[in-house]
Amino acid sequence: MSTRHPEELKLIEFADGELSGREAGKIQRHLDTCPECRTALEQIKRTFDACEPFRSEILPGHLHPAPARWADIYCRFEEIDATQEPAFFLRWLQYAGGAKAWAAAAVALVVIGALVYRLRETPAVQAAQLLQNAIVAADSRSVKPHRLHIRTKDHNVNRLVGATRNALMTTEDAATLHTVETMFAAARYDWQDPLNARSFKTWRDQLPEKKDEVVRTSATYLIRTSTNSDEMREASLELTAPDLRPVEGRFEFSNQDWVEITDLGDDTIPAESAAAAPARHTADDSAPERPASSAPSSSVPAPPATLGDELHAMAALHQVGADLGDPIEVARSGGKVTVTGIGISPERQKEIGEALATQANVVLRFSETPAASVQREKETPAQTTSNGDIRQLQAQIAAQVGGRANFEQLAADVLDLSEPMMARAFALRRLSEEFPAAAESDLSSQDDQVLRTMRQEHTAALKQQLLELERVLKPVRSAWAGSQSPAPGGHPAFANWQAATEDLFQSARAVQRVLAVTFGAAPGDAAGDQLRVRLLVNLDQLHAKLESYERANAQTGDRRDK
Amino acid sequence: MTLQDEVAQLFLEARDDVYRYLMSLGLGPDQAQEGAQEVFVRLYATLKKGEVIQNPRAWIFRVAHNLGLKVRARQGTHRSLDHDLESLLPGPLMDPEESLLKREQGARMRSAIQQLSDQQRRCLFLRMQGLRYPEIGAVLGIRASTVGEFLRRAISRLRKDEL
Repeated sequence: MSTRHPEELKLIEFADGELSGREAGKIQRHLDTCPECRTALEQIKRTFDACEPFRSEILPGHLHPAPARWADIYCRFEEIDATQEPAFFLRWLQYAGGAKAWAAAAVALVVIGALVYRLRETPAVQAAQLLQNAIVAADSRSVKPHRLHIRTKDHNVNRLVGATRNALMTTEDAATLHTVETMFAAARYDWQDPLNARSFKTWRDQLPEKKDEVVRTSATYLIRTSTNSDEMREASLELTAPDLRPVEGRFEFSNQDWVEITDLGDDTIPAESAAAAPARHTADDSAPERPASSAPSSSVPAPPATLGDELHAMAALHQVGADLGDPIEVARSGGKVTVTGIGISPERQKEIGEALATQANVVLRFSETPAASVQREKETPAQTTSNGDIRQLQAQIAAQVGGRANFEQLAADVLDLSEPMMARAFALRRLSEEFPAAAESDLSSQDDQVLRTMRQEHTAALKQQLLELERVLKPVRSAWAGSQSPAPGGHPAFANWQAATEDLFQSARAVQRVLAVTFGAAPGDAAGDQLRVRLLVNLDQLHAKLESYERANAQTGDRRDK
Repeated sequence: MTLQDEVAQLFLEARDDVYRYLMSLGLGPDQAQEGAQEVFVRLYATLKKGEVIQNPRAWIFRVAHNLGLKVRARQGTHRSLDHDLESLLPGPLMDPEESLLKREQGARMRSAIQQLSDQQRRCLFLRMQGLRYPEIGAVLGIRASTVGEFLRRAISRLRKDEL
């Protein structure tokens, strides 16, 4: 029988059938021999069961019923079927250029507006249709040379499109462009004008198999096509909603290379000047940078990012748990909130990008190499091995919990629990650093509430994790009942929650450190008895710090409310 | 059975649940009903394009969730579920014939569920719709492990209220 009780979360997942067969089997074996956990599981099931009437009886009985009769859904389906044909008036526009191109352009704006409205209202926004419409819209505009900013993994370069002359460029720039051109040629994607709906459509149409996605935001459409049958595995094109003008594209290749292209607008500056702007080569600058929000780069500049914008970005990250250990930094600079992620997996990048998609003034950057500025603080122990005293303490604990195997399990549990606890402490400290007391008053009351909620959630989780940690450590603490545990000291009063956070953070870190040494995850040189006392004291202190923090938090809130 | 029939069948089965979910996001009754219909129309359009949807029920709630948030953002309103709960449970709408026991049960339930955060409530609601954790995560834009954590917190809170 395993003496380690499963965490409550595991029991809930077990009750809901969310565990793998192996994990479920492990829990079941434990339950077979543990009445305590069986009771806990029964309580969980009872609670879930008690919620069911809420959904099936109480909620339907008391929620406003649908105010009108449900419409005949078949009629809406017929509408969908009828919208498959392209709009005839856009075809007409193709022929309305020539001498009266300006008039056609004016009409096009009106028609495109109507079309965009229709697309917004029509659920079946199809990539092919959108591309076709974008081609028609592009044909109604006069062609001007324009500049593209091209980013690859390790180089940035500007390029002129639609001009007979070339921008002056360095040898390195030229080599980068040549490499990119070769990649596009291999994928049979037109490099002459890559940020163009027609080029995109031509590439897309030739794919034997593909998957499309169209994402509509308030200001843009994003068409994303992915395939397994081409050198280019995924291409996305962002079109502004008002005029279906391509503003940004991202192209990913089978060899993991990627290219991002941003339209810099008409070529109104001399080519020499464009080339004179040096391409950025630093490790930091190699990260692709893109607006997280959908505002096109050619639109009227947004006002500079505020503290509130930064808070909203952090709250959005918080929603997807990206403030709990993901190597992400949030900072305000150059009028924008810059969210930088290092070494984040593509799936996670997508989640984070989606979480920030609706945030104003946010620029999202991901890079693959860790940067010193966002690396989490790590302890650098002076020693490299545990001393004999610590090994003796570990042997004592092993004897208390029933053997070395149980000690290993206990150590794994303890270390697993201390990590998320520290993640919460880090998250709280980050909030206190980003929103110092002096700046906090700049937040609106609504934003202040958002900040408070985030703090409360982190604190509640930290508290829960501490309790869980203590539950796991209970057999050890019971055996140490005779040990002197000096009083943790008085509860210091703090001027604000920010000051209390640092104290709380340091206390949590002390607990993590002593646990790591005690359970062999980090070397240390303390005497065994000393370590034992320190562990007891640090745990008690963390409780006290949490209380102080909560008091300071509440007082800050009260002051603000007044 | 045609594609239209299949989606219409699902519409009949799940439209009220989607309507309630949209209400829980803070939409008014008119918007919630319109939104619920829109979700099924989108489902039809997506399936008609040939896309494969493994779990239409989870897909429906994900689209409903995003739609609800967009509508709410457009309006600039942030009515929480708490607001709607005010009109849900024992009050003038309660049938006077209803048993005292049921009324008490409703009152206790209301009080307990009001204590939960929006995310906890949504996780609980979607779980009660039969969605798996990864599906709930996809609806709410969070990880499956986070869903578990929200549910754990919800259960802990509800247990304190002896539900």
